[in-house]
Amino acid sequence: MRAVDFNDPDQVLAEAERAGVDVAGLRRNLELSPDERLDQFLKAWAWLEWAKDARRKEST
Amino acid sequence: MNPETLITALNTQGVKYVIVGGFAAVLQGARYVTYDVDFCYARDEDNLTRLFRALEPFHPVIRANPDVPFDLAALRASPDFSLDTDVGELDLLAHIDGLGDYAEVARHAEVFHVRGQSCPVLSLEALIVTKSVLQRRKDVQLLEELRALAALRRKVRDQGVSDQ
Repeated sequence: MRAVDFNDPDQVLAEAERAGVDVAGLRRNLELSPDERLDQFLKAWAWLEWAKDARRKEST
Repeated sequence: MNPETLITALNTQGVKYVIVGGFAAVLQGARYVTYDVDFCYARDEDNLTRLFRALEPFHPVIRANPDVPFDLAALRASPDFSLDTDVGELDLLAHIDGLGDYAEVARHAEVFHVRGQSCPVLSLEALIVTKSVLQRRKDVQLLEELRALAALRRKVRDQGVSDQ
């Protein structure tokens, strides 16, 4: 396992990208207000709920 | 899921609470999608009454034991609950691993303004502490994201300092 210096932001970001974190998306989120973050979350949540429901209907 | 209605109800009743877990991470900027809202609450009798009044209109059902009514007696008897409600799935927690009870958690809260409501949310640094002590796969994934968010904030802050 690679040792990451958590005091070095560049190392942390590089490790996060390797782990599959959408760092560019996080950078955009930091520009958003809490209300905008909530809007984005609720849209993603609604889409996942819709997909879950569609899969359930397909399997019955 | 309707977190804004929940927050309004908690504030209207004057409940002492702090949003924690995945939903706190979302408000802090994470791209994580959670299916519930977790909050830590104070266990004094006055707060239990206020919490019950806030949640009662949303028809809470104890997920693990739907036949047991969620009422003041249940709240007094147990510190933690997973509830299904009209405003979504809620996790009520009296203690947060890595931090402690409500008094300690509240020391690490930041006040956000969500849909015009003041909302105490666990700080990014404290979220990292709480996720560091948990080993569930979803916590490890979220921890990577939280650490990246903290690193980005630090870069922005350092950039601001060097621009001055």
